[in-house]
Amino acid sequence: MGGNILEVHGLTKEFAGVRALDNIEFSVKEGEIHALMGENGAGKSTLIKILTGLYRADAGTIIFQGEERHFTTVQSAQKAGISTIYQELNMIPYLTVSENIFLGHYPYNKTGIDWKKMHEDAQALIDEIGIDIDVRKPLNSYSTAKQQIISIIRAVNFNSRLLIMDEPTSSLDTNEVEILFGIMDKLKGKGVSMIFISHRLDEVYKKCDRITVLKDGHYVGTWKTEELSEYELLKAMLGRSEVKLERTLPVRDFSDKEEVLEARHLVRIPYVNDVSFKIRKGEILGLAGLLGAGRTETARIIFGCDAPDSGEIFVSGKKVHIKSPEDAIHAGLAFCTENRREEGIFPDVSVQNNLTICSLDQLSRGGFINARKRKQLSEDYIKRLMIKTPSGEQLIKNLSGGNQQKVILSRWMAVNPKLIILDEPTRGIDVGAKAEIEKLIHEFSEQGISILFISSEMAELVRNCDRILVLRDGKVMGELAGREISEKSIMETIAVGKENGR
Amino acid sequence: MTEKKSFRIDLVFLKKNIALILFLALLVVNIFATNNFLSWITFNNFFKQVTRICLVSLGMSLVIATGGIDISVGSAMALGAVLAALGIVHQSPLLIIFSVVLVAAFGCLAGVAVSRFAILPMVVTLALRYVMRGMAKGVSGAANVTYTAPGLTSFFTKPLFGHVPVHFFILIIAVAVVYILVNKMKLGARIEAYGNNPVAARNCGINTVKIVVFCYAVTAVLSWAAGMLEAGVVSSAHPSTIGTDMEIDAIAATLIGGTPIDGGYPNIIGTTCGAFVLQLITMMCNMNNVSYPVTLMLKACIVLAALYFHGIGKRSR
Repeated sequence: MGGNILEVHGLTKEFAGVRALDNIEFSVKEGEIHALMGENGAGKSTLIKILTGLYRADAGTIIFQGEERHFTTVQSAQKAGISTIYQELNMIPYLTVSENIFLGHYPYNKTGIDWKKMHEDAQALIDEIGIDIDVRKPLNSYSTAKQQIISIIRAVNFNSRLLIMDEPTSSLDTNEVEILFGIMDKLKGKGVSMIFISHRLDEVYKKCDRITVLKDGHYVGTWKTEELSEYELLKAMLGRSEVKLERTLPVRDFSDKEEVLEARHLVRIPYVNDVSFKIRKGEILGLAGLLGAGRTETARIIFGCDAPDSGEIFVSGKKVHIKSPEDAIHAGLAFCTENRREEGIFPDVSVQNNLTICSLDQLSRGGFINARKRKQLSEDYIKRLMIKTPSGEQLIKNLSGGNQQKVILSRWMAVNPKLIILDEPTRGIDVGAKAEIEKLIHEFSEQGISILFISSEMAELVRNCDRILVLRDGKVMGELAGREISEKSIMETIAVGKENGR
Repeated sequence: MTEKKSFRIDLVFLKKNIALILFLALLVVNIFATNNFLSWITFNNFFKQVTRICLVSLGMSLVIATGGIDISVGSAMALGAVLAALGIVHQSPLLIIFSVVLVAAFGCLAGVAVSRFAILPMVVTLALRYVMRGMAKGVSGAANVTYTAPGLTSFFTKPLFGHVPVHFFILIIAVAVVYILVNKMKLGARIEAYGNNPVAARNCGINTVKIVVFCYAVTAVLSWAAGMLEAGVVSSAHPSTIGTDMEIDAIAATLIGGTPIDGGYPNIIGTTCGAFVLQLITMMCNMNNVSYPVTLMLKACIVLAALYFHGIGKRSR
């Protein structure tokens, strides 16, 4: 391996006063596969967008191939030799494979585009990799994996010296991942450098030479892969050593309580690979894991948002066939979704109507809504959850994030569910409101409502859960209960998957 | 209270009620500027004309509230009216019933195609627009269907209580029913929610297919009724003239009324005033001998003005 193809020093980027990147140090050697790791909001995508000319840095230097560069457009970065392969392919599905490879720089002869030459050259590039693709066929006649490979071939054809691969494996199956890895090896042999982003630790450990970790926009460190254990990596990504939060929750015993929900062998390829668990009445079960571990996907299967490939769900001991959220609500389930704005609130609708939308059946007779009862219900919850709003008539979009979340919680409480799934209930909410919402979760539990609690913030899970199920790559890695629960034990369980899971 | 603040409140008020304000303003202008405006004849003419626009617009508001659009309403009017007229000619009550059932079925079809199979509303209803107009021409041999039914004709033409056309009562009833549906019933609350955020609506257990199918079906039935009104006054149904350009008027009335084009709360009173505004402009121009092209341009200006106010409301938030 030679010197550094890319060096980044003191890179800083602010968005409306928030530092997305703060003094980042980063370097990639020639012919190296370098993993860039970090959870949501770590700053990975901002860094990549600066490297590829989509954003401009506020401060710091980028040295590419020994020269200080400031890319202002994607084209200029591409010309210099930096290409990106995104998760969502930016290619044209209806054009042929060769057209996609040569997009933007078709070969010309006297009469126009030299189709013959283009197809021949494209086929030569494909054959070099050694996969079975006919370049004359439209791109969309091939699988996502092959399309991904074609996009890599295109990037290399641009004479790229540095390939940025943003979660290239997230939608691929095991065989396809192997093909992709084969190509990465070939490129590496040719001296092409790669920045590899993936949430699958196995892949990172299998393919990458070095690992750089970012957290909350800060540079945490760079290690050689063989010198960093999975546990150490997780700690660098997730750990908050500065705040030691003690678990204050008393150990509660649920063994004599009724089983409210049981999931048996849920599978939805490639996100969920055999997840089983039980929740008893009043219990708070946490789902822990990295991004892409299959937590939200599991919740969506249970609530009927997505259909599982296989698996069974039991509610109060009875098998249920949940085909839509409507079925799930009838079975006594509730789901507070992760993206409050996109999937939760009705922005231009009043607080009152947002709050009562799921309980209309109990508020109406013969299709007519009892306006007095509706108002009463909404005012009860506004008071009980201390929702800050001038009145129930206020449009929900004018409320703060924390208060919107409380309206959504009220919406689900009003249907008297047996179990409520909370997916990142405190994301994007200020500290005060966060504490209030955590308090509410415990009140619900006291009332006998079971809670499936998904959070990326480990401290939050540790503070609030009776039991924690640890997922990795859609599989259950282990279960922690009572006093076993700590940030350390969660990270160890995720890391241990490497030895036990396969 | 600063002056700036009260000005902002005025804008919100304007946005909410622009259709009503426009209607009242036009009314006042006409009372002073147009000769013989305040008369039973004007009243009669106004409601005879505006009721069918209004019926279709009510349906259109529901469809637009779901984030859709229905450009097949004019054809639905023609198909319904021609079939029903044939039913009267052949004295077959069954055919009359069939006319409404068929039109409603096409509405359901549109709803299913849009919600279940995710086909663009514009495309679906464009197809149905041709299908229904074609069927209307097919069953009538592309000729005017004239019938003689003195009882029915006098029902549509003879004013009640000496002065008030039956259209007036039909309009009041239709507006009241749809208003109550939207504002007082479960279904209305769900339509509003679905229009505002379809993904969240599904997550809340709302049967989204049912909502959309309902809205398109209601629109079809209201269009059928509008077709009957148009045919009833003249005791005949012409397959190529009934309901032409009706979709444009209905969409305009809905937008003037303040129902958001990308889905949301269906403002029924607004839509009704929107239809009134459109009709008033037409009548005003007629009574003052303004030429038709100028009338159309005037309509366009009013529509733009109304939309401008809705736009301001959005930006000021």
